[in-house]
Amino acid sequence: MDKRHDITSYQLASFCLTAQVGLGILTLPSILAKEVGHNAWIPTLLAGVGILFLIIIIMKLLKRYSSKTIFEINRLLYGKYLGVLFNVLIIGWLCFSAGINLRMFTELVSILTLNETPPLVVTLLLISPSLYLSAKGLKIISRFSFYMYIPYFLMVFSFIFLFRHMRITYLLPVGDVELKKIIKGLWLTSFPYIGFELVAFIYPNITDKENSMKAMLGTIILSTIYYVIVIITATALFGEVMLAHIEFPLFTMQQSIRVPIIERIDIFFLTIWFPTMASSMRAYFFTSYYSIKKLLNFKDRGIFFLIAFAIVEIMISRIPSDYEASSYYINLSGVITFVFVFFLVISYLLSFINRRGVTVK
Amino acid sequence: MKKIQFIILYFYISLFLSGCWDQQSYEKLGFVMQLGIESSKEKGLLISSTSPVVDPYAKENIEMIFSNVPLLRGARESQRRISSKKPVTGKIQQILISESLAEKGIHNLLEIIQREPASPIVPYILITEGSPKQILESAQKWGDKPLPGFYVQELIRNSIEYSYAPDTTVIKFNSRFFSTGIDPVAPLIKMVKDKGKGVEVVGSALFSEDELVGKLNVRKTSMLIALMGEMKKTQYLSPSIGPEPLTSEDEGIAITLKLKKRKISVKISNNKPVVDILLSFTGRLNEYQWTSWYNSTLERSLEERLSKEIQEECKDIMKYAQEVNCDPLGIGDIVRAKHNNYWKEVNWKEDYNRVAFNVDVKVNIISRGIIR
Repeated sequence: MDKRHDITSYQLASFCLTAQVGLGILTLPSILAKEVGHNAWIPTLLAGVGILFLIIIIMKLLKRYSSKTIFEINRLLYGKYLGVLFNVLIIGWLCFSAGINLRMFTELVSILTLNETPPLVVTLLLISPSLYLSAKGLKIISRFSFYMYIPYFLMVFSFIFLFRHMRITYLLPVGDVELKKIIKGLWLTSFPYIGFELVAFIYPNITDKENSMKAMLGTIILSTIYYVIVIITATALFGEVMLAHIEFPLFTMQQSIRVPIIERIDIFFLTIWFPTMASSMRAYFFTSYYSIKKLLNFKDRGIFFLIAFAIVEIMISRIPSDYEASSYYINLSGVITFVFVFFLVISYLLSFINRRGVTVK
Repeated sequence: MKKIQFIILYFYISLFLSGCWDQQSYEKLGFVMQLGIESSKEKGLLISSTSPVVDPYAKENIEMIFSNVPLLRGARESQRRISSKKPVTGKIQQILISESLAEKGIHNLLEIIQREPASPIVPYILITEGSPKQILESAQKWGDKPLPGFYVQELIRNSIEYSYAPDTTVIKFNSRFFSTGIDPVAPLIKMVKDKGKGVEVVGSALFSEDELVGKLNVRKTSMLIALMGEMKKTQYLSPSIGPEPLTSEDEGIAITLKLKKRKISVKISNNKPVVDILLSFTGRLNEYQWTSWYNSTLERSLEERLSKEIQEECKDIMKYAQEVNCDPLGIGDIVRAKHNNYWKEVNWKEDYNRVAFNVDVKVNIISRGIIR
C-alpha cells in the first residue's frame, strides 16, 4: 500500500473544502443576484442543506463497501461490462473537469493580472505546483489544503472594513421572490458546492473512516456558512442591481476597501486567493490522475506518467476559446457532476438489491 | 535524483515562463493621479490628467496632459503619444468632473474605471465649480503645496473627517446610482483665487440618479452627512447663539459636534410616507463668551437653542432635497425594504415630494473646556 496517499478524516475535509471553495465563489453572488435578487442567500442556504443530504447518502454508500473506490463498487454493482463502461465515463468526466478547471483558473489569472502573457504560458506556470504536489501524494496535497483556511479566514475578516458601507435595507424584504426563481437559484448555487463528490474516489485512503462522515458534514456546513456570508455581504454592499453587473464580486469587494498605506488591498487579495483557486483545480487534477493510475493498476512512482497526464490536461484546457466558453464548459462539467452524484444515489439504493461486495449492512 | 529533476523543472518554469510579458518597469510608468473631465468645445470630452514627475532635474513636479476625445480611453491613448512614460491608471486618486457636465449625467463616465481590474474603484468623485482643466493647470503653480494628487487627497480626507464633504468614491456613487430609492451626493470643490493657492471644498453636489440637480454649502453638507448617518464629527459655528444683547463682533458659539445616534423610521400614514428622524449629538464647546458664569442653566439653554437651530436646518435641507428630487438618505430604499406593497403602488421619483419629514435633534454638551 502506497502510504503517500493515506489521509485522516480532517485532511479529507480540507481536501474537499478546497475543492469546493475557490473558483465558483468568485462569480456566485453576481450570478445569483441576477436571478434571485437580494434573496440570493436563501437558495444558497437551501442548497447547502440539500448537499448535506446528498453527502450523507454518498458516505453511506462508501461505508457499505468499506475500503473500495467507486470504480470497484461499479464493477460489483453493475457487472464487468457495464461497470467498466461507467468507470470509463467517470474517468472521462474527471479529466474533463480537471482540464476545464485549469482553463478557468488560467482565464481568471489572465483577466485579473497577466493580461499580456499568452494563456498557454500561464497554464504551464499554474500547473507546475500541482504537478509537484501530485507527485508527492494525497497526504501532502491535503496538508497543503489545510493552509487554505488562512485565506478563507482573511477574506471574511476583510469584510469588517466594509461594514460601514453596507445597507441592511439592500437585503430586505426577505422572501419576496417567486418559487421558480428560488428553484433556479438552487440549481445555480449548487455548482460552487461541487467538490464534495471527490470523496468517492479517495475514501479507501482514509485511515480513520469512523470520523469521515462527521468531517464531510463539517465541510458542507462550513462551505454553506462561508457562501452565505459572502453573498449577504456582497448584496448589502452593492445592492442587487449593481451586484448583478459585477463579474467577480469577491474581487470588487476587496477593491472597495480603502486602507491607509497599503491602498490597493485587492492586489494582496489576489496573492492569497490564487492558491485557493489552484487548490480547487488541483483537487480534480490529482483525483483524475490518481484514479487513472489506480484503475489501470499503474505502479510507476516516477514523474513521466504524471507529466504525460499533465500534457493531456493542458490539451483539454485548450478546448474553450475564451472566458465565456470556459464558463460554458465549467457549467457543463457541473451538470455532469450532478449526474454523477445522482448516479451515486441510485447506486446506494441498488446496493440494497445487489449485495455483492457489501461489507457493512 | 527525482528531487533534482523537480528542482530543475521548477526553476526552468519560474525563470522562463513567469509572466515576463506583463513586466512593468517602475521607471517607465507615468502614474495618473488625477483625472479631470469636462465637456469640450470642439468635440466630445476634454480630459486632463496629472502624473507626478520623479526626476530631481525636472523643473515641474507634475506632468499635465489634456486632450479632446470622444471616449475616456482615448485620453490615455493621447497621453501615450505625448508622454515619455507609459500611463497607468492604477493609482488614480481623484476624478474631477465639471458641474456643467455633471448636470447631463456622469454614470457612464465612471464605467471604464470599474471595467478595468487594474484601475482602483475608490478614487474620490469631485464635482468642480468651473473647469477641472483650469484647476489642474493652476496646480502646476501651487508651489507651497505637496504634489497636487496628494494635496487634494489629503484635503478631501480631512474634509470628510470633519463632514465638510461626503465620502463618495466611484464604487459608492455607482452602487447608489444602481439602487432604486437612493441617490448619490459628491463633494463640491472650486479653485481658490482670493484665499491663497489651491482648491477649496465648498460643499456638496446633489444628484438625482446620475444627474447633478442641486448644491449645498459646507454647513448644510455637514448636517446632510449627519442625516445620512455618516458624520464622524464637525465644527459647528452659530453666530446667532450667544448672550443677549450681542456685545462685540466676535459673537456666537463654536462647538465640535459628534453624531451619537441617528434613527430613521418610516411609516405610511394616510397613504403618505412619514419619516421620523432622530439625531442625537454630543458637543464639546470650543468658543463662547467669557462675560458670564457658565452653569447648568446656561448649558441647558445652549443645548436647546442649538438643537432647535440644527433641527430647522435639517428640515430646510430635506425640503430642498425634495424640491430637486434627490433622495440622499435613501428613504425610497427604506420604503422598498419595509413597505414593499406601498412601494410597488407608487412611482417613487414622483412620490418622494409627498414625504413628510419630522426631524428631532438633541444636542448634549459634554465638555466646556477648562474655563468657567
